[in-house]
Parts: sequence; C-alpha cells; structure tokens
Amino acid sequence: MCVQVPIEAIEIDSCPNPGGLTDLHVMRRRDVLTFPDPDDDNVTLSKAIVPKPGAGFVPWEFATDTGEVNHKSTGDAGNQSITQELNTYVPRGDAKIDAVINAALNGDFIVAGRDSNGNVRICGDKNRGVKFEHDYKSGKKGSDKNGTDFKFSGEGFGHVPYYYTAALPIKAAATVVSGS
Amino acid sequence: MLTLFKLVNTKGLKALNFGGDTIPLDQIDDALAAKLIGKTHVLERVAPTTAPAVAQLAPVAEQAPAAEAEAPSAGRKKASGN
Repeated sequence: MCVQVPIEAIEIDSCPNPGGLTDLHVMRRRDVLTFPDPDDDNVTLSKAIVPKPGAGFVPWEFATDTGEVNHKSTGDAGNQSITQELNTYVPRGDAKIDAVINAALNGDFIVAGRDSNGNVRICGDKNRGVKFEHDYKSGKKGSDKNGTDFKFSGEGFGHVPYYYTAALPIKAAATVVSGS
Repeated sequence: MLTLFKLVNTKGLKALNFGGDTIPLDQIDDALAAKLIGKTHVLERVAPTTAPAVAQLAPVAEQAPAAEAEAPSAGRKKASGN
C-alpha cells in the first residue's frame, strides 16, 4: 500500500535543539500483541504499543552521549526506502552483558529511544523489526575503550522511525534475556 | 490512589515510561491516570455504576423533584455560556 502524505514546506524552529539520546527501551517484535497504526501524518504513533501478557519493554542503560538514532534513504530512484538505526555504547565487558548479547543474536526487535528534544522514536514496526549487532573491544592500552558498541538496524522501511507519543509498558523483570 | 480509574492488563508489567519518566504502576494516581488514559492499555475509566442503579430503583413519583433539580443547572449553563 502506498501512503500519500501531502508535501508541505519545512519550517525551521528557533528553539534550542541539542543532540543526544537519553533513554533506550527494547522489546522483541514477537512479544507485541498490537502495534498501532500511525496517525494521519504517517510518522506519529499516538496509540500505545500493546505487548503480549507477561511481555513489555526493558530499559537498556548505556554510556552518556553514546546513543543516537539515525535514518537515511537508500536505494536508486524508483526503489528508495529508509534505513533505520539506533546505536549505543555499553562500557565494560562482563558476563551479564554478554549473556544479553548471546540471547539477542538473530532476534527481531522493536526499540524506542528518546532524543534530547523529548521525542521518543521507535525503530521497527508491525511488519519489520530491527536486527541487533554488536562489536566488543577490550582495548589495547589503558586509555582505550573497553566495552561494546550496540547497533539496532533495519532496511527497507517505508517510513522514518515513528514519533511515539503514548506510554511505553515496562516489563517487570528487568532483563531482555528470555529464551532465544 | 486510583478512584476514577483502574489498572488492567498489568500482568508482567511494573511501570510505564511516559515523557522520559518511569512511573511505577502502584504510583499512578487519578491525576496521572487522567493524563495517561488513551495512551496505554493498562488503564480504564471506572464506570459510574452507582448512579444508574439509583435511577432505576427510584420510584416514578420522585421524578418531579429531579426535574426541579435540573432547572437551576440549566440556568448555570446559560450563565457560564455568557
């Protein structure tokens, strides 16, 4: 289905516009019971994502000023789509973090990140989740970073990461590791 | 304390994240719930069950005072309209 959205002028706002990401919440797409349809603008989700009973989003903590939401258009003219990405860096390598990495391989996720303007952006949608990638480095010398770069990414979307204005349901057990 | 709303579908959930704040479910009060209703599947408005029950039980003869009681409220509506 091709959604027609009217093209209007882009207006620049003069209020402060800091960068950065302050919150990250993750859920497996298979745990979503109802993914709402976007509003008429095709970019805003004003209704809540409803998880299956017992499921919900879990918060992932990460190093300050390392989170970022990206989206960019890819493909040749006539075949364009949008790639969505959410990147963070988690310092330190330990068994708990690595257990999450093991469990997240080949997973299909919906992730929510909140930018510094207060917008919650959702990567992934009803039909297509984002995959998980990681790159751990212990560092070679004392001044190097010792930790894991995480990336959630997906290609082929027909829309930018949605703006989510409803409330996120948070799972009781604070872990993303729940089977494979 | 929730009186006008009730929590539903909370199995396996501990909180809501809204506007960057994580709000534990047991700390949602009526004021917060009024803000969150429609934005989550865990809140429902409590149906006003008592009022219709009283109306059904009330004898027909008592309808006259009820009509009188409505009259001033209609007047107030007009006043507020101006």
